[in-house]
Amino acid sequence: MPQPRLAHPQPTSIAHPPPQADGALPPSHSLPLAPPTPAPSPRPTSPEPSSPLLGASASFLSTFPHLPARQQRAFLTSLVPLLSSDHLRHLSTLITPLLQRDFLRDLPIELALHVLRFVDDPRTLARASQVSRTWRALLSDEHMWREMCRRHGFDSHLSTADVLRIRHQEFLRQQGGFTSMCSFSGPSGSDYIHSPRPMPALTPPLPPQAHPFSYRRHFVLSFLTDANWRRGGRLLITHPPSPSSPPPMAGADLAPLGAVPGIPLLPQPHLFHGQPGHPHAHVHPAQQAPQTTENVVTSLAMDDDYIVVGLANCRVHVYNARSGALFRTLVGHESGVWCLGLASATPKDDFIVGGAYRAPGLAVERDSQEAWNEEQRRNMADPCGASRGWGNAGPVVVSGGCDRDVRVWDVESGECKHVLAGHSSTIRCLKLLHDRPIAVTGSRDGTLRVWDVERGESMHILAGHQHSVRCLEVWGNLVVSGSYDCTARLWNVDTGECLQIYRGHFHQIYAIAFDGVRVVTGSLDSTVRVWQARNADSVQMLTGHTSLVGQLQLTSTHLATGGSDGRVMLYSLPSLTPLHRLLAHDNSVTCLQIDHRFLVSGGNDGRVKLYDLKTGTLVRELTEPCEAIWRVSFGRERCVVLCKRDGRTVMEVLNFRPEEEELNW
Amino acid sequence: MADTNMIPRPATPPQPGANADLTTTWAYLLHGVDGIMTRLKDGVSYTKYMGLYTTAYNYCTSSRMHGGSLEAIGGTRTTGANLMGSDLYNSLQRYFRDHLQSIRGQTDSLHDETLLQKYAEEWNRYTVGANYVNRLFTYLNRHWVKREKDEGRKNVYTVYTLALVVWNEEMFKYIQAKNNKLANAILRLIERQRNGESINTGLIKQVVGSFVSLGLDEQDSNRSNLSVYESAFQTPFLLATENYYKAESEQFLAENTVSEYLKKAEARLKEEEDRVEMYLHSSTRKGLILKCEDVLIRAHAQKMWDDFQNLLDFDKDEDLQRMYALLARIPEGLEPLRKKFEDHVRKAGLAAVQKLVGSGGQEAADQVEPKAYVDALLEVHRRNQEVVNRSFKGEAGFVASLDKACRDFVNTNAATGSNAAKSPELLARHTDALLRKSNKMSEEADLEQALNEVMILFKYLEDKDVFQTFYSSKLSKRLIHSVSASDEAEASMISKLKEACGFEYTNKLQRMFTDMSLSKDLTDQFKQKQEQNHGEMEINFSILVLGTNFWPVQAPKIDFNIPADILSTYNRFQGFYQSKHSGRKLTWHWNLSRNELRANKMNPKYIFMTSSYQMSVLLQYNDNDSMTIDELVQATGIPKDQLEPVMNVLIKSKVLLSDEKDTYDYNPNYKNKKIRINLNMPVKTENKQDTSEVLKTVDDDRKFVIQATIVRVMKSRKTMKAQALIAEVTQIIAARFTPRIPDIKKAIDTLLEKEYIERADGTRDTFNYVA
Amino acid sequence: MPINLTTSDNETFTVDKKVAEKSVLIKNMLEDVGESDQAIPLPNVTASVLKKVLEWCEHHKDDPAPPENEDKDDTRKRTTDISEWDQKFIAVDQEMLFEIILAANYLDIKALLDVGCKTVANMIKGKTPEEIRKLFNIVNDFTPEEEAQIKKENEWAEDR
Repeated sequence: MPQPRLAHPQPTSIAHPPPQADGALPPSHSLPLAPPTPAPSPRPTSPEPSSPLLGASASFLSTFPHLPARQQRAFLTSLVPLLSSDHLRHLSTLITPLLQRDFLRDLPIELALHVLRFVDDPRTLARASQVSRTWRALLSDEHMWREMCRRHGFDSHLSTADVLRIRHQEFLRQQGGFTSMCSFSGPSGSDYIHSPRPMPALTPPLPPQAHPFSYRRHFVLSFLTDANWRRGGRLLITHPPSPSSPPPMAGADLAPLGAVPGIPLLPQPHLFHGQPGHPHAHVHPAQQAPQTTENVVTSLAMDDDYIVVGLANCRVHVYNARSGALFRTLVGHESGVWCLGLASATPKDDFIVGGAYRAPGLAVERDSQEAWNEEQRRNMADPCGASRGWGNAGPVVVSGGCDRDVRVWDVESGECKHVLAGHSSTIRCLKLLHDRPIAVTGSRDGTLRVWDVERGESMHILAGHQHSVRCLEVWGNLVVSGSYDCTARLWNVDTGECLQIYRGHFHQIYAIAFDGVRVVTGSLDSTVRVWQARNADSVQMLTGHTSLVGQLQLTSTHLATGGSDGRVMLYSLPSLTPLHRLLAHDNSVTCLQIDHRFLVSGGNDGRVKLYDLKTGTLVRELTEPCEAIWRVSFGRERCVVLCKRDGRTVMEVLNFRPEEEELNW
Repeated sequence: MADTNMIPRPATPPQPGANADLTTTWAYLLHGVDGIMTRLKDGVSYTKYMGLYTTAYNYCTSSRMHGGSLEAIGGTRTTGANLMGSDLYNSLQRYFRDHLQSIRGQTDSLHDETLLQKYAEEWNRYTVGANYVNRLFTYLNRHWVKREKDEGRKNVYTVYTLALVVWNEEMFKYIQAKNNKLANAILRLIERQRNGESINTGLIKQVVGSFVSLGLDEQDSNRSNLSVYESAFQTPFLLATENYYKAESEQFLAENTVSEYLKKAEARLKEEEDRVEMYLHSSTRKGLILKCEDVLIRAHAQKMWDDFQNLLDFDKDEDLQRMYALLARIPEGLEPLRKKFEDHVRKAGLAAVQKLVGSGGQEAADQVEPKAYVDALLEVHRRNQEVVNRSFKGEAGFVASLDKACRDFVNTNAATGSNAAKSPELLARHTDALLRKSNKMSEEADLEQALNEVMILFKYLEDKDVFQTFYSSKLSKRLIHSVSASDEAEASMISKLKEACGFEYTNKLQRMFTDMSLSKDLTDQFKQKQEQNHGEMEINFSILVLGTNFWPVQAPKIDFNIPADILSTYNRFQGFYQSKHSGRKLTWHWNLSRNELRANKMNPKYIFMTSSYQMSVLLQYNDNDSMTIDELVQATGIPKDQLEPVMNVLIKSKVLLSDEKDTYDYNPNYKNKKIRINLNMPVKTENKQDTSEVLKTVDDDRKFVIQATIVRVMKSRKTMKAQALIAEVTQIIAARFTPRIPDIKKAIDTLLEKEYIERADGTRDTFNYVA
Repeated sequence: MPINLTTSDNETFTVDKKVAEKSVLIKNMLEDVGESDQAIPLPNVTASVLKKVLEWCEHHKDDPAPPENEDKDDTRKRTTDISEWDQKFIAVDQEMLFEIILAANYLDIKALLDVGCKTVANMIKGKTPEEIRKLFNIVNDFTPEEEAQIKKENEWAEDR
């Protein structure tokens, strides 16, 4: 593999001609004499003579190089005093360029890359790659971009498709064998992909997408997506999920309106009026049915492929997340749907990655600011109500509500696979476990139930609460539940036993969050309590709200709380020091979600606000103000808003993924 | 060993310049590396070391980025910079391979120890060298190798690991290929050690160590796993172990007693534990020990179990300890012992009592002396308690067996027959004896000890309520006749009972004490009052006022003529008491009260201690010298049948004389050496009759307890099936006595009638609580 | 105990072992070969550079040894800030900086290597392509078409 070696001994580019024998004056920017060597010693800095030299000096010049280093230095030192300022000026113009160095070209590659490792700012990198061919080549190094992705937190956004592509490429590399030149970055040390182990080198089908996976491209994509969140994005589609099951194309025929490419989405909060293509313009015309509370939106779940909406009118609507088109309506519940969960499809070979379920212990409190370890991340429930499947070929929706039955749906066929009876009163909350066909439901009857949604069997009844179970959260094989009996409980899903009882709230608990270390509860008593999961005694009380706290979310680094006082609080973990206190809404906060970049909150005041997580400043409002926001949920590339607009229930899908043409150069 | 390496060695090539090409570079490196791998002992100079490092370094750093190939422009095709190193890496790999192939032949002719020695020797030289080389190629590791791994390349390792991988391929597998020559050599060595020969364990440690090092985790070659060690060594080793001990243990048992075998097994297990310590990988311990336990213990458990009884019979304490320790190692090992032990204890207990009763049958059984009985039981318990603690380390299972056995023989044995009340009674009587003045227990400590022992047995009583009833009646007598040894003793006993059965159980007993002290105060107050009102009293009076429900005493159904002499005092006290607690009714137990009379007519003036009945009789003789039985009945109001026993005592004691039938005369010439004479002898037949009445009260109590419990349960459960109800009730009551199912059923019916509970509509066996 | 180091241009420096061992290369070699009074040849380093490097080692000889696991420390503590002393130390002409980086790399002195690389990184930061070319005296060897193409290709990073 000598080819790069051939390249280096003398500079390749026309810019660096080898030193001319005829002593013609080389261009001032050239690097004469010594080619870059692995470890060159400082070059003798003898200037080029400007005109043919006469005998004596000529002969001396020829001897100079042969003098011992000391002698040379001594000579030069004694020479300088003899020079006039004119000489010196002349010298310096000659010398300065000689002392310059094209580091990235002249350093060994590994060092050049090491230099770049100290550049975080993408702009600098982008500019550097425009410097010269050499630099550009260096700056398209995948290995470097993978690290950039990791550093900017983009690595955790690899879609299943991406992961498959990476694996495919790695597979090819393996085939390529030892001398393979291409350097796709395989996910070894897979801490940046949701997978417990590096993937097996079996060949997955190359996902249908033109270009192969590239970390540079992924970085740019993620970078632009973030930018769009702040200033770009477009309203992909908007239409009301109608109570009478709409024609399957209801979404599609709206698409052209919403899908006008590149319509800037409400740039500034105050610039609403007359914005072309803002959602208001796109309300489904045929939508005359008087809106009763019947189609209040009760629940929302989404992943990269589907958006699932549950309504108080017994219906569950499923939309294609990419187009926003209505995909299918799941009919069967006899009365209002109150909660649902979505288990993403996990093709078998992909499941090898996600799966291999092993029960985690309670995670150990880490006092450093460092993020979760892989296990903790893997067990964390998804804020969008989607869970990693258990190897199910197609996506599965599990829903429950007033009719007390849990229903399990195969989304692709639309068929209801199981109707699970057991609860004796309304099912109030529901979560799916990662990697396992297990759902946990909480009900007004005061019990929780654990279901095997594949076999369609009840696994456990978790009894103990004295009143309605209002909320629950899962982590690994553990579930915490919050109840109107003012207590929260920790359960083991596999054994069905109650591991802890958290007592202390004076009123009903309305919200709960759990990360394996701490349990957070929000209550009507307007306090938020943070419990050590393993020992119910040690509690911290957060008193940032003045009334009911109904919204909670935990991430590896933050805790966000939202209350009926319209306030949103953000705390940093594990210290629980308050970071921001946002007066987000004039009315209750109805939904709240954070990721590592943003905080999005929706309120009964009909507004959806986007805040910067770090600064806590309002970035913008994501949609035209309306009567009320039912639900808001966002993923990496899109945000879904379900709201009441002009008396109608409206769904708006906002897209922040950059246009392909922005990526294809 | 330097001379045995096969690679022809040219004279040291000159150190190549900074930009030397691969061939020159490698020629130089090869020579140096080979030197290190084969002749390290010749030493390495700084110059040499730096020369090698520098050469490798220069080669690896010779990569430069050159103008990106144009077609990269425009395409989103992924590209990557390309570091120098793969050639060097390949060359190294090739060298390691050649090197090993050149030396491995030497092992062909070798076997067993010599083979192991050779292997270990080569291994040591090789690894030491490889470590060195690894250092020299640090730069290759740090950049080229790291990057390859980061990019998910499999089969790229740091130089040292590479060396191991090659060793595994070229050396280890080569030797092992000849039917596991290496592993077998080790196994044979180990077998020899098991046979008692002394061997070079260090050698094994080295070789086994190499197996461990050769295990590499496919995913992360920095982490080692034990794949090689396990497959090449551990598995066959465990198999060999199994076979070896299988054979040995069977043969040994055929020729020796179980006791001998126990020692052997114990020793062997220890030995294997040490073996792991000495030269195996710690991960082997679990498997090895399990295997040994399997072969050495489980396989022969039956034999041990069978021998257990005989060890017990002859108190072979050491063997017992050993057997326990061994069988404790296997899950199901102890259960049979516990069973056998339980029977053993039961037999012992029953035998002890049988011995006591002898062949006397029912008659003898009734005559059993409480103390003897209790001591017999205690002795059995004590002996076996010791066995449990000493031989079985007080293991819970055996404690349970002991308790179960004791419970059995304490409640039913030769002395009790089918009479469940017998043991409680005997124990109660024994306790009574202990607590009486009459008891000659010198030391307080001894008494305490004795009481504790009582509690040991008490713990085993099924019908604790029977004991309670007996105890309280005994207690009441001790108190009323003030014959109790000491209040401390009484108190401590009661607190023990309370501890065992709770407050409710001792409630009554405690009340009896309160009454006593209250009465004392009462008496004093009364005396003072009297002195104020009437000056010095003519009779010395003291009273016990006993709460009706707490004292097991019935007032006699007679209207006793209170003698004039005490009538005034009697009335005054009545008055006094009513003034204190109006509305309370005093029932006078004349049959229990005692008096002292001074016989003024007599000389000397004897003092008679009498029961009230005797008093009332004797007082008649202040006015008459002779009276007929009917006159006396008339005068005293004591019915004839009860009067006669009284008279008999007086006649016997010669205070009265009876010449002709039914007439009793005053005896003027009564003589006695003592001045104080106690006429108040307990009338016979008492015991028998109070036993039976005790039992009666017990039954009534039980009916009540059962009903109460049922109601309590139903109240909390609202509705319940009969089965469940009975079960729960039984379980609750068991602490006091074992209720009989029929009794519970009866109680349920009663409650149905009283409408505390009702049948759930349409069901026979489900009940609802009626609020 | 003092260590003798000989440079490519045959100057010998005698330094304290502690100082010399800031170089992992030297540290390892002393471990492997054992100490002796022979001089240690450093064929890749010249006197002028080694002088500079040793100056750094002297000043940092009491620093705690860096953590082993590289991966960890290049993910997190990638602070590009350089201690004041080091900034002064590294304020040299590009040629010398270049040589120091190479020497640090050769002698395996990670901390110093990082100081050098950070310095270069900081020189690049926030500069336009042209500014960078000027700074390092680099010729723009793209054809105009290519340049346009590449500009487009990198627009994503520019504010808009």
